[in-house]
Amino acid sequence: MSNLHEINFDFMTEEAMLKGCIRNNAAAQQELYSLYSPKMLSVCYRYAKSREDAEDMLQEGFIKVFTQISQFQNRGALEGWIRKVIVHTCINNLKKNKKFSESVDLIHASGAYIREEAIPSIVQAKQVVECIRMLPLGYRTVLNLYAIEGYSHGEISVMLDIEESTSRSQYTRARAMLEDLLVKRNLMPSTPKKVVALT
Amino acid sequence: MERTIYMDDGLEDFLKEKSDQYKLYPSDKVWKNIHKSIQPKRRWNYVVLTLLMVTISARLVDTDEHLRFPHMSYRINQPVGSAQQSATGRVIAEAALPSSPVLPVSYSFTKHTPLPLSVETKNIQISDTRKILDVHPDMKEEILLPEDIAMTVNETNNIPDIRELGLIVRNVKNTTKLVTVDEEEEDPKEIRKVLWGGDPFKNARLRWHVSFSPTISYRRLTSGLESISDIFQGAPLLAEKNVATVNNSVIQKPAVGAEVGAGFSYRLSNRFSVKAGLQLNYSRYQLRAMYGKPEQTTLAIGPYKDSLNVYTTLRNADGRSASWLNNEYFQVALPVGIEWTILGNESFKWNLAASAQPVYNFANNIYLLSTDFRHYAQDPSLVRKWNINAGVETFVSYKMGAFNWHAGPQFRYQLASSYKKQYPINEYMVDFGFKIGVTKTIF
Repeated sequence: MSNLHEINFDFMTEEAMLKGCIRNNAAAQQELYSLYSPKMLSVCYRYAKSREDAEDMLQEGFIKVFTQISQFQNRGALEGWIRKVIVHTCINNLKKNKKFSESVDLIHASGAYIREEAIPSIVQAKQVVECIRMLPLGYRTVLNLYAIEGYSHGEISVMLDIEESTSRSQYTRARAMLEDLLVKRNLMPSTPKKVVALT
Repeated sequence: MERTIYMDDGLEDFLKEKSDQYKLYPSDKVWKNIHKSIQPKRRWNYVVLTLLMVTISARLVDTDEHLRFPHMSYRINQPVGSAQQSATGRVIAEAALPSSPVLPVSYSFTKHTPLPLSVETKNIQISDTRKILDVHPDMKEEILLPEDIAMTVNETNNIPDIRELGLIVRNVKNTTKLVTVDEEEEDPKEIRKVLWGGDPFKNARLRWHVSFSPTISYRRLTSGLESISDIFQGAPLLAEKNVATVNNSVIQKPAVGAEVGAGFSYRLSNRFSVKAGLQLNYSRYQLRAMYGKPEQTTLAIGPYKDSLNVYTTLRNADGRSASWLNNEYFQVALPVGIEWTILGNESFKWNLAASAQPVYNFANNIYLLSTDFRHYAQDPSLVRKWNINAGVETFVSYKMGAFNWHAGPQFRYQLASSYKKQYPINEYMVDFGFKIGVTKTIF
């Protein structure tokens, strides 16, 4: 007679999922995808022009994740590693676009303007993300990388092939624009700012 | 120039927090494209399998030919001059008139080797191509004397009995320079028997066969919900409505699998054969699941009403994104069965076969429905390793040369549930296929 107490309580842990993905197991890959794709699509969405572009980036990014997952080797969190791969995929995609190269350039960026579009008011998080997406492409990219992904300006300058000072300037302008947008839409209280003046 | 940098007002933390809260769910096509890109081999499985089968068959054909025609020696008690076809189409050897008493000539020849137009040795001349027609009922091919014909002249007057010569030559017409086989009088079965060391047509009983079949797999579910309703606190999802709706409570669809096998058959009589072999089955179907938060669910009950609980993110319904999951079985089977020839002639037959197939599940990838029908989870320990299938097939066979090719539909049904007793839902796999195979007589 079989004994239930001998039966392993089997569910797919992150470790099992990872091992499965390394073995190219479709079920494990699908589980990993299901777990992280919603977050990663929102990452892509912040960089992309449209939802369709974001899905293309996500697709390309996850293909890289699955083909390179053996390189992960449990150094840090799996989600962080996946996010890194996805962000790099987004940046590489943007860099293929000539307009993007121009938009991260400081001279062109100075003439940037905010497209005043109706912001869908579903939830605050969505509104914030939509505000970020309203920024000019170059601003948005630097802001995403610095403020949300946590890259330093030095790393951003390497990733985007720009000067570190350009990254800083882009970020400063992006931040100011975004803050105005958020305040205007009551997404963020208008708090006194600590201002450092640089000459 | 003055630039301002806003610092330390918590904007970055705010942005990060809100960005992390925001989730978007990709459309199904994204996963499909990813899956297609990272699992490209699946598409080639059947092609590779078919090529493998064809290669093995070709190799066996080649090997068999060499076994069948290893420099067979035939001797004719006439110094043969040239060959030609008689009016009856049988073997005819045109003999040059011997100047001396009839000398036996020994030939060694192999299949498909044409005889040179003229070969001379001593006082014997051979011209024209000589044929031995219809020497074997399975082959129905010409056997030509080889280029490197080994021709020796027995200088003695030791003329062998004509019956030892490999060809039954009854009406030797020396005066007409012809050695002919009388069609009316010669017994083709006897010729076959002498040439092939037995009567391969009538008495060949043992055959090997290989086959391949693409299959479509599905499953039938049954559940003893009455017995589990008092054990589990939550009523099953659809139990209130209809106890027998387990099949309706899941969304599932058939999927393509495959079967490849090889074995032997033994002919008991003209119409009946028994057969046994080894078979590899790959069966699968797909079920629709939704992804949700990790939740605990119950998969099985034990003998003491204890339960097997697992955590899963897969839901049968009410999840956030849907996907098709593959339930797959990899089995090795030992089919044993009987074959009945319903009708047909020597070259074309219609057959019916049935078999019992003990199977061993050596690998599987199975998502189990929870006892409340609300979740899916995996627990390989609940899947039976051993099972038994019943198979029925009908096929037509057609003789091409030495091989019998057969093709026809087959049906396979799993007799015992895929799952162990403690899992309250029973699954019976059903497979439909179209089998293509080849059979070859061994002896």
